[in-house]
Amino acid sequence: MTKTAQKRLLKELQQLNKDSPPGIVAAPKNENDLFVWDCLIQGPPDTPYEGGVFNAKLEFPKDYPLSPPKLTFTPSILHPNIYNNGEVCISILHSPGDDPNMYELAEERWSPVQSVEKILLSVMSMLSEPNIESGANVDACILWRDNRPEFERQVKTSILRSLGF
Amino acid sequence: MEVSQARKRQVIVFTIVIYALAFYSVYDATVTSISFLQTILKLTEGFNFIIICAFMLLNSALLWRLSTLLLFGNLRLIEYEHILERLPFTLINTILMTSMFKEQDFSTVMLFGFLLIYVKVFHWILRDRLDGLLQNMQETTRIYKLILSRFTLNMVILFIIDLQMVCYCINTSLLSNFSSSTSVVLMIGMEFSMLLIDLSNMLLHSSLNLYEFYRSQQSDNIVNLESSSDGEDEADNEDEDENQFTGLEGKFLYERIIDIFTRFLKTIVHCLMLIPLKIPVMLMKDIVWDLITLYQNITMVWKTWRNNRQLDDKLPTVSEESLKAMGVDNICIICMDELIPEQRSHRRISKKYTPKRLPCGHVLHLCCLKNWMERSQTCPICRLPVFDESGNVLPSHISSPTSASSVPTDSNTDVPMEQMPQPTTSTGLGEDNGEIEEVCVSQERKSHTARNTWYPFSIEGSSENSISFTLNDIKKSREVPVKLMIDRSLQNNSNEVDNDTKSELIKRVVIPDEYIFHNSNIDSLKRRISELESQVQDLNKRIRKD
Repeated sequence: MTKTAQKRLLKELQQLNKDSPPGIVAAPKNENDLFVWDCLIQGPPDTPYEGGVFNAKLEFPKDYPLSPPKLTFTPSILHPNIYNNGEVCISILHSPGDDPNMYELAEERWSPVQSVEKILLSVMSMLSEPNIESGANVDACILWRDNRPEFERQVKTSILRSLGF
Repeated sequence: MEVSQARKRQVIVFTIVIYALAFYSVYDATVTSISFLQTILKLTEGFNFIIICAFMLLNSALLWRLSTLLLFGNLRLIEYEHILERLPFTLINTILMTSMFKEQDFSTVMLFGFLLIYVKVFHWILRDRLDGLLQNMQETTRIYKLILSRFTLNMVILFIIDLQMVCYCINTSLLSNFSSSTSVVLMIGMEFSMLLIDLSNMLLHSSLNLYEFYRSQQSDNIVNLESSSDGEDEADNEDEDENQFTGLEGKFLYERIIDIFTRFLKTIVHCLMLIPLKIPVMLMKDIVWDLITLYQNITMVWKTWRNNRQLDDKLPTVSEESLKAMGVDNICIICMDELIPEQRSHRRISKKYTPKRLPCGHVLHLCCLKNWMERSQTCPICRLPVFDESGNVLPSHISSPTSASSVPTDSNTDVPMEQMPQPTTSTGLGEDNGEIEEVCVSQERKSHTARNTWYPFSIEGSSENSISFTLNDIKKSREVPVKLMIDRSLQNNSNEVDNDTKSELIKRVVIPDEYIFHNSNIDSLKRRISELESQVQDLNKRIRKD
């Protein structure tokens, strides 16, 4: 099982090196271990996250492409769909078997068609369009819905702090 | 870091205060009272009682911390989270359990309940440890190191504890000859036997993983040996690559079977408890729950197993030529390898890597498909189901060009239609057996390329000059009813047919690809156009403002 995962991860890495979409950088943390990747995601323009560069960690299971990887922002960022510990909650990162409350449709969840590139692109679109119906960070959800300017201000200050200002 | 430091300080201060208070109250009680009995009475009254309780709770927490430190070392963050997640529920459950028994048993129940929660928490940690161990397994890890790890030691210790508890409970309940406190002991014994079963579940899982690991290491060794013996022969190595051990086939299924097995054991224990226990209300919930999950899991595993077994036989193998003709990329989406390796195409492809076509038309390696089908019974690309309820492969929605040209049974009746702007219809009638098989909806053949694909649909109803059937909209997952009018003038062209008598014999309709996606293409183009227009308007506004 490990062999398939390694082969595929290597292929994805080559693909990403060849032509990576704008605003995304991703590579394994360590040359010997392909199962943990470091990613940099640029905040999409025309959103409060514009101008920020966010560091995230992708952890792949041993049976990757069959099971989804786990994406964690380090440090965490304020967003309705990101847990306080930085873990990202989007439907394509949930495996098709386990959905305890039948919240998402089967076709929205993980499938081997997804790849690192697609995951990161959907995270970027998640940054620009939060889904507060299945929120992970309830405080951020409420803030986003009821007091948008305050939400944007908090995001902006955290970005500035992360950039060292 | 600062927060944890502050927490630590708070805990230390709290501990000291509680200890001091406890000692003071004990001292106070002993000094002011004459007999031992009076001391006890004083201690179990009012404020003293609260202090003593807090003292005991604190001590048990400290003891727990110490024992986890000894058993497991430092806990990972996720293990803490799992404990915090499950603890409230378990606590409430235990308290509910204690409420079922008579008052005189209260202290025994509390004692055993505490012990139970203690041991349960250890089991949770152990399970998380197993996951962690599997995650961190590297190719370089030695197998004996895995066996002689802390994990095994912990497992053995917990196993002994559980076994001892179960034996003790059984013995006491037998000795006391089913007296009043028996039900307490039995209940506790049942809980511990549940833990024991959980532990055996973990044991089976870890041995399965260990076996897989062992196999993969062995195959590695073989490959290494061969490559060192004749390192110059590149092709030989490549060949070896194909036979390499890429994971235990059906491992996911085995894991499911292990789970079912342990669930079955649990059900048996629950049912056994029904005999001596007089209060089956709580048990009934467990038993019903057991049976439901058991049923669901067994049907799931059975379906997966049955379907996977016939994957090889029932799905068509795709040859290199037809792959090219279908215009599909030569890539298996799961392993991202070539479906048919290009440099080695003259070589025999090992059976595991034969490209197979799903009913929806997507092509995957057999082994990749098998592994995915263990998790989900749908196509990984378009999520269309592969098998129906009774385990037959669903009828193919797509026929490849070669077979499609044989679908309109008679080429002379397959008349090109220019006079109609709408999807034109012609009746393609097969009269080989004196029976009409299909109606073919065709279009001008001049744009007919090799990539043209055809979709057959079964007909639901037909009248003299119209037929109706349903199309599946994959994107919106709904069905679209369609009614087709058959042109009279065309019928006259294919003059031998008397449609009035034979319309009921029409069974299928075949539609070329272009018509089906035509509408959605137009829709998306229209949307795109309106988007672009709005963008242009925006830009115009901006220019005016500037």
